[in-house]
Amino acid sequence: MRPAGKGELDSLYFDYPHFPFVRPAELNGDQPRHRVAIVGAGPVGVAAALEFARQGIESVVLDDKATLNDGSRAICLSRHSLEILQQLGVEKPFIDKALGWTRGRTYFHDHEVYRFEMPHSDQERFLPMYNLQQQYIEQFLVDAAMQSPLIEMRWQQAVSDATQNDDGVTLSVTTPEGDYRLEADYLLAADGARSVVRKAFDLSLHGEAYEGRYVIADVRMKSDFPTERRAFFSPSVMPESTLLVHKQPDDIWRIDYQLLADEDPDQAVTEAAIRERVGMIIEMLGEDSEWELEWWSLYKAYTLALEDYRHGRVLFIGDSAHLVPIFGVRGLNNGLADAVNAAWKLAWVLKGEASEKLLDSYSPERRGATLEVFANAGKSTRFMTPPSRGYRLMRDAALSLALRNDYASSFADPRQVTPYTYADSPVTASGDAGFTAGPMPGAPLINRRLGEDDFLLDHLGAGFNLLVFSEDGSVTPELQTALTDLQARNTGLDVLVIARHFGTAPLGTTLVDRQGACFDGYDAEPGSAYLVRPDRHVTARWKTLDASTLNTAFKTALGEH
Amino acid sequence: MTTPTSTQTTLPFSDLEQVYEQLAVTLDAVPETQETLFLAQLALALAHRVPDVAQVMAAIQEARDGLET
Repeated sequence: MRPAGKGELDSLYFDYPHFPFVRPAELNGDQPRHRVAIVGAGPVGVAAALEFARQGIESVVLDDKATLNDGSRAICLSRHSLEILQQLGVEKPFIDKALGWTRGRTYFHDHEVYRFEMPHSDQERFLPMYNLQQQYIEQFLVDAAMQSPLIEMRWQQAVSDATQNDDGVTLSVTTPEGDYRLEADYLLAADGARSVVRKAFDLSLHGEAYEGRYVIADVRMKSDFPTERRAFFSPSVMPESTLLVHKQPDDIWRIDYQLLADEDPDQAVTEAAIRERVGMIIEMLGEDSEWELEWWSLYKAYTLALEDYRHGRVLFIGDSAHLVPIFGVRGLNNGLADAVNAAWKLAWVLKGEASEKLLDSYSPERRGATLEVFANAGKSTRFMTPPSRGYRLMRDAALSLALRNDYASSFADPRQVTPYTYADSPVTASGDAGFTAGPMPGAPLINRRLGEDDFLLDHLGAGFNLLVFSEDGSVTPELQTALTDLQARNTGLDVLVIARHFGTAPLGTTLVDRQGACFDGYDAEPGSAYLVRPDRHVTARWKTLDASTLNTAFKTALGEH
Repeated sequence: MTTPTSTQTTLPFSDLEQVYEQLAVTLDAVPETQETLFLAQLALALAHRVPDVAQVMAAIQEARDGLET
């Protein structure tokens, strides 16, 4: 919602683009067979299209809107998401515009009781978290998609129904110039919480709704306060409530506050009520400059998910598959992980490099991630908005002790998103007991610094990567033969040799690990190896690689046991 | 801000979280008028299980100090 007299897209700082309707081939009498249709041009749908393009697969993206989403919505991107965006080749505008941050503060009864630092080190290219309004996130992704010859963006084209049979999927599409049927081999449903595709297949989300409603409001205000997450429990201006404050680019501040139990939500979201409440909060923050109201919305916490994220030839990604509470910034970040997980697997099936069995691993991996989110989000939601007298008393007890005792401050930790480890996935190999550190099978790669502005993850190829650790860049003749053989059969495999120092007889790309950061971080010795999927998760690792087992691991990774 | 002190921990945080949840649920099941009595009983029952009286006295002071937050 926006102040009186302003249109839905009438922003103080953002010029919404207008995407014209382009008449599709289907309205001119053609019936092309698309490989992949993606419904929804939000950040999750467009990220999936970019991953398909990276894997060499064409896709068509449909959206009923003529522009980007209104309002700032999801504003926190995690390091893991930036690493996804880097692989998609689009991270630069994000880094240039977003505000990175590493720390936060918790207040109770107006006293600061806890400061937290998120894990960070000079081995990382990206900060733990970045704040950026969702319309910028969408704009940067859409800019890249419109440049791609493999992505067809179809704006102002609303999907009203979807059906499937053994051969493919058919969509009913409504446009300003008439209706048509679109045919595709597979469908990705990225059409959000009110997914039309989900309804078309009569599927529903299951789970629970939490007590408490939140208002999220954006204001424009000049302030020197650094980019940190601030949480206020029982502040004097609203003793029964919890507030969150985040800084965004363009002098925009996000203020979230909890409505009281007996408060009428319709009354609470009137402009007068928002202005009164936000004014009090800004005064409490000690800010004395002028502020302007930009946008606001009402929010309720849910933990809802589909029972299965795959329905035949349809894969559900992002909010169409699951709704999670905002605390912990998991909605968008997990949606991006869904997008690349679904897209690389489907791309490999469409390229004929994997059988359809690979798609069976999508739901266990990403639904597993959702269930872990639910476990954590339930705890943080009960902390942020205690559902009962008992939970409120315990929450206040923990916050009271937190100021002087570190055992209690952990309760105030925001439990923010961490990447999920696909340890139990059908396409993850069992572990090698020889390792005592480094990413286990199923976990994402960790970044390591190789030099000035040079990191391990900068060097990954688009397909599978095999990290081979070596003293001087050379490998055994047996491994050399096995790798040549494997690469001849699978075009999508890059070999990255990580050498302590550069020698002769290099194989593939050689990275020199002068400081030993990769060897240490991966608990590797010359002869160790990691097989890594296109989404940077480890399939298998070997303390000492036996070339004869490499082929088996590769089959496991592609769903052929 | 006061620098938090580290108490020697005997209970891992994940266990402390379980205690937090169990207490919240139990408090909800207890009539509000008996909440204080319940918590005082719990304090004695826990103290009885601690072999060092100085630890118990320190915990009492810790809780007292927390009221000034």
